[in-house]
Amino acid sequence: MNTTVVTATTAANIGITDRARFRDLVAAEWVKIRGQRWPCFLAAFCVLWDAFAAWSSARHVSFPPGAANSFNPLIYPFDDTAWSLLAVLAATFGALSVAGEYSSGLIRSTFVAVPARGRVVAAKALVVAVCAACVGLACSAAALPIAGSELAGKLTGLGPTGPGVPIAVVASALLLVISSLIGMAIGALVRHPAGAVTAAWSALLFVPELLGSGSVNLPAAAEGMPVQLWTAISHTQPQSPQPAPLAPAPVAWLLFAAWPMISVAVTVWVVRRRDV
Amino acid sequence: MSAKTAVLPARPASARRRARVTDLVAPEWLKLWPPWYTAAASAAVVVLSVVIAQHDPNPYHFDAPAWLVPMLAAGLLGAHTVVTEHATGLLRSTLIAVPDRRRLVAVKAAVIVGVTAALGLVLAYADIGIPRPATAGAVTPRQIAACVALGPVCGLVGMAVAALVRHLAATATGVCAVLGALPLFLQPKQNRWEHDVSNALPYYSWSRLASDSGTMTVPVAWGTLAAWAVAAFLITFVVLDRRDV
Repeated sequence: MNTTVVTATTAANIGITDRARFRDLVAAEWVKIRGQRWPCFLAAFCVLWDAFAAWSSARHVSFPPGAANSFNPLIYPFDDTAWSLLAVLAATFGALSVAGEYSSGLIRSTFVAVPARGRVVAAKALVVAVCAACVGLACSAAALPIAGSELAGKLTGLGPTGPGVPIAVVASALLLVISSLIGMAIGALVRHPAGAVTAAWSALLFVPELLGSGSVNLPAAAEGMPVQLWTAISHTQPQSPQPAPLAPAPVAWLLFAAWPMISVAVTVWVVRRRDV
Repeated sequence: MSAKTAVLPARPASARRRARVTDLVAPEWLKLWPPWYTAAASAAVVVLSVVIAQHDPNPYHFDAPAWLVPMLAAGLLGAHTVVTEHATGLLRSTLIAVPDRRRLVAVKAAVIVGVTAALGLVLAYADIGIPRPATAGAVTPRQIAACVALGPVCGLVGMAVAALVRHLAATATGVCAVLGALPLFLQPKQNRWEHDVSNALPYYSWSRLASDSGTMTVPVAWGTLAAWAVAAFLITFVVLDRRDV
């Protein structure tokens, strides 16, 4: 056998001559998500849920005469309760995209094919983040017109150029991106699908609820949770006897940027360091 | 050759033909408790709940949000006993060993009821041990009974979700959604239907019994808890009996 040919083939096979491009990794990660049914169901449920929540929260609104100006119309399409469920579902998606690979064993094949684990995680984070952002934009696109038509004649300012609407839409898409990346970090840390899902729901729903309800008296920690940051950035909250503590907008933007960076760093570090 | 044929000894007259209940309870207990993570998770839940209850500024015993963690833990424990058997395939071996599926479900439920009731009892006395202002009042037996009943209700609900869903991640999502997210999203202070629906949740029925909050009467609250437990048990019973594994 010709030694040169064998060497050249081996070199090509192990990727010395043709390094995998990042685009190939992104395509592989996209196939892994697109090839399953549950992400599609989850995305459809998110949009339907948000449309229903916008309709339900805007349906029975009525104002005393002249009081409408003191209400921020954005609290109806961007309802805190509705979007905290969306954030949790995005985190579930991110957690399962990592933990699912560990539980099915696909991660071994992936790392045999691409030993550069950091690049795999980066490609996966990119795909997950883009999917979450698309779902977030779709949710906003569904909620704004529905709430706007329910509130027609009572409140204005929910059109695409209304005050604060573009920022709220961007912040809402970012909320789902951040939640899905936090979910990825949880999935990399926990690795077991049921454990990862439980941890994601705890981190994004139950812990903020405990912090925000006053059951655990840590207002500073409550301010830093993703949904509270999103509330602080995108709109003010509805009037209530127990308003949740909100951070000032610049601090909120800073923490909004810190969450995904820390999450991706944790994911990369854990995946690179731990054996599969 | 025929002289060498082994002949099984005749069944002694005292031999049992049917497995005793303890023979069925023993393997379920062995599957649930000896793995290190069950005891570790239970201990972690107790510690976490007590820490949360200690930092609770509300001046009464058995404040509902602090009990969300043990509720979820009991639900996940119940779901764990069913869904891991489906996920690992152990259920097939179990059903070959015990073909009577109804007895199996009954025994599984009994083990979960026992463990989660013990968890509720431990947490109730831990909560009583936390010093509260005198306005909290003395703890009545009804409050303790409600705490002990809460664990089994959640455990049986977890078993029912697991029997219906059978998939690890989806089961965990379902338990978190039913026991954790529903009481946070539906609260008995909004409009009428939301008020009625949220009162039908175990969280608010229990908090009516344990901390006298809410608008239900006591018998209705007990009835709601009992209805959840019975419905969850029947779902597990029927689904596991009827569906192929």
